[in-house]
Amino acid sequence: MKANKQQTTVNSCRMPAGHSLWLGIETSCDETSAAIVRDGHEALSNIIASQVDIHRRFGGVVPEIASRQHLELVNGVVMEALQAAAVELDDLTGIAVTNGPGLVGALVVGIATAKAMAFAAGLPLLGINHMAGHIYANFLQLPQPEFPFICLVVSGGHTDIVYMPEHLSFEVLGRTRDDAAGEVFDKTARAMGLGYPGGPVIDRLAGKGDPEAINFPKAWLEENSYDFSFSGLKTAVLRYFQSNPDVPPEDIAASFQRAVVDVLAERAFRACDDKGVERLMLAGGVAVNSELRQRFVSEAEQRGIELHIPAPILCTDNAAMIASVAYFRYLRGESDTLSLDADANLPL
Amino acid sequence: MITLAIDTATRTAGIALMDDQGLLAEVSLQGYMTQLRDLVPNIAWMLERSGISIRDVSLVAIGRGPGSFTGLRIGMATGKGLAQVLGCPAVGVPTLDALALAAVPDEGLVCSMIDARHSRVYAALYSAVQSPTATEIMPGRLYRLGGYEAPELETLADRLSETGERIALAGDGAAVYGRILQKRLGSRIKPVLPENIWPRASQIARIGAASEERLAGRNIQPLVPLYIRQSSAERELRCNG
Ligand SMILES: [Zn+2]
Repeated sequence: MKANKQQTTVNSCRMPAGHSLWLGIETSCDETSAAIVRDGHEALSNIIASQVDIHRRFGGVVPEIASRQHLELVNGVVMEALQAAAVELDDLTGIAVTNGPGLVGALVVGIATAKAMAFAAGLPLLGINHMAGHIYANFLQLPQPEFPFICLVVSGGHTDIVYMPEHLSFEVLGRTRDDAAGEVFDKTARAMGLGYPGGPVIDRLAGKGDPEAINFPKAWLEENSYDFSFSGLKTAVLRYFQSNPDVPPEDIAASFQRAVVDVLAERAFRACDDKGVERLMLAGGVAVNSELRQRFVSEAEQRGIELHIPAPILCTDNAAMIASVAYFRYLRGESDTLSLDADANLPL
Repeated sequence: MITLAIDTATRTAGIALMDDQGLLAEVSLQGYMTQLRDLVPNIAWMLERSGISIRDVSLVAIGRGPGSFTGLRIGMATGKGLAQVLGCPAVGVPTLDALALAAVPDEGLVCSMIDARHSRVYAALYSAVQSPTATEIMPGRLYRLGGYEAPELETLADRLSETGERIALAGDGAAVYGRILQKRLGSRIKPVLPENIWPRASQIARIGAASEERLAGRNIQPLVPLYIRQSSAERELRCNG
């Protein structure tokens, strides 16, 4: 079972003294990743070994298999990250690792590796919240976002509207009450027999369909709520698919995707209005969805809102975003002890 | 050579430190819920109390199980992370071998058993005497007969019966199922001694150091856990074609 490796920025010159260099390690789900980030915003390397091909035949991430893969891949991925950035262990400021939320068996591999490395190298250790990481992916590219802003975090495990008045201050305004957005894509794709992972499959299919063909319920909750509920939509799509075999799946996919994007956009832009904030950012794996990106770009332009969206590679789970958070926490004098533990449900 | 050994395959979190003269320190703690949290701090404490710097460690020996999948990965990832920074070799030592080394009688056999739940054990059979079909674990001291397996208890009892030998038991599986085996096979089964229920990191260190010395890094056990059993998702996928 060979995992597929990708790599983003590479910079081969050695660092002058005075820079802060963090090694990030991320193993919370099905990507084994390590990265070197300079001064919190520049990814010198960001190695991601994806297991998606391995999990595809099971129609979803199998935690035990993910954990086995992480253990086999993590040391090699760390070595590659160091080499690609031309950085030695001695040059590092510290080691950062995702300690939650995520699959506990997967998290422990990264945490045990990071703790052992930090101890043997005599380096500071920081346990980083994976969701904070997704948000900080926005700090890995120019222009750097300014505060305050609203962030819509959409992934396979989370759908959160977060208000950030300053660095490392997260006020969760709303979250999903049932499935996360990415989960709804996966479950809908599976029910329609489209394969795994659901996000890219539906995105591709939806591009060929009519998003206004079917008017699916948008699952608005109470007025003023920033929370999400996708289970009604999921059931409606499934029922429609089963009772209308002649309707092209492209139209169903497009109409479903439109319903999800409508809800996400409404909540996010309303949060900006209510908080009087003129900056909005996207984060998380679902933020690679093409309709979501287009909608946010055009609506932000109409409303005069400054929009930040990470490059697709920074939306997926990656370690550069983890190292970025660590830089800002370390600046504030924070560090963790070698007793760092995994927390599968770590809140933002 | 200073060997640091780690074993977290069972409910025990064990660490040990050994040099060429012998054992320097050993810590053994029960209850695997705290393995991730406590393993590295305990290694740090043991090194400090022994007056040895982590930088002096020249070999990391890690228990490969079989046992708790998560526990195994915590020990493995920790050991591999240490070795990666120290630039020293790391060897994997089956935890069943370590249990056998502590309990092997001069005559007869020892069966190491780790509880795998659901009336199964992870088990392997050993002798202190060399034979043509046996695999050498420690020269002149420990030889493995057959492979590492996860038999149901009934199957294991049949196999032990076929040997016709006196068999000492070791491991937490023996604490759980030893009486049943004794009932089936009578006095040929020697019950597990209390000190042989839990694996000892010092035995992992002994086997690891011996194999590293003998093989100089060639053909030593790979650094992946001895899972023996596939994940349940893989088993189901196979059943469903
Ligand atoms: Zn994620």
